[in-house]
Amino acid sequence: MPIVGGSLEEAATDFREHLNRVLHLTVTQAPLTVVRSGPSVQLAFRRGGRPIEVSLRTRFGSMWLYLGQTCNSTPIGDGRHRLHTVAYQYTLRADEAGEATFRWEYEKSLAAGKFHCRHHLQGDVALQIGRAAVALNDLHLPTGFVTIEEVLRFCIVDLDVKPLSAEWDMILTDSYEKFKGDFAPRGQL
Amino acid sequence: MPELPTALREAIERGELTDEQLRQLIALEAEALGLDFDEAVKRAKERTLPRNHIAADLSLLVELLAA
Repeated sequence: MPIVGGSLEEAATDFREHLNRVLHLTVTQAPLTVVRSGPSVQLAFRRGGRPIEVSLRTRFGSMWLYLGQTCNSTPIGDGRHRLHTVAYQYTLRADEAGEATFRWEYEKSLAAGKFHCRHHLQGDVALQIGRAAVALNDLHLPTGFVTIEEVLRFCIVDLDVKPLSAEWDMILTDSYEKFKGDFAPRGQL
Repeated sequence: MPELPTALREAIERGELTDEQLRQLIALEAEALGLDFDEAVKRAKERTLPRNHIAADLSLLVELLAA
């Protein structure tokens, strides 16, 4: 997946088109929108410019998925640009719930005085740790870098979202490998 | 969240926002959360926004602003 482009626009367009193809063959026909401002781009589901969640039919009933990323670009010579993820937010919310059940988040830079894991999972989930009742929202459960492909796989495998094509596993595997290899080589996240 | 102004919506559809339009979008998303621009940016940086998709989007846009 060439997330390296002849220009920032080209790299962002390639990224969007690739992810939309993956989405359309796995869980939703809703497209991601890319907006550019200066040397950065943001990717999210939008309708009429407004951010939206998309509906998924799961084994727990309807759930709502939001996917968003912000990427900065780095010139790498010959006028080409490479995109680097600086933040992501992926949320899954149960129907009629006020808060997301799961939020996978990444913050490249933490605010002053914050020391939690930059890649983490939170959500409106009650946990029992020993005798203590703990909210997942009060923890930053470490995750490592979570790709959009992994969230889509979770939706299909664990939430029983009906895939939109028979090749969904290969599509997610190929896209994941390309992402890990071309877009986010180890050590550059 | 109310409809966006036409010019802003068209800019998003084109895929390119000026700094002013980016701030306008953040302000509108902040308004949908019951916040003003400055408070929303501050809370995005402190990670104390409400836990919904508009707040998630806003926090990603604030990253764009900071770049």
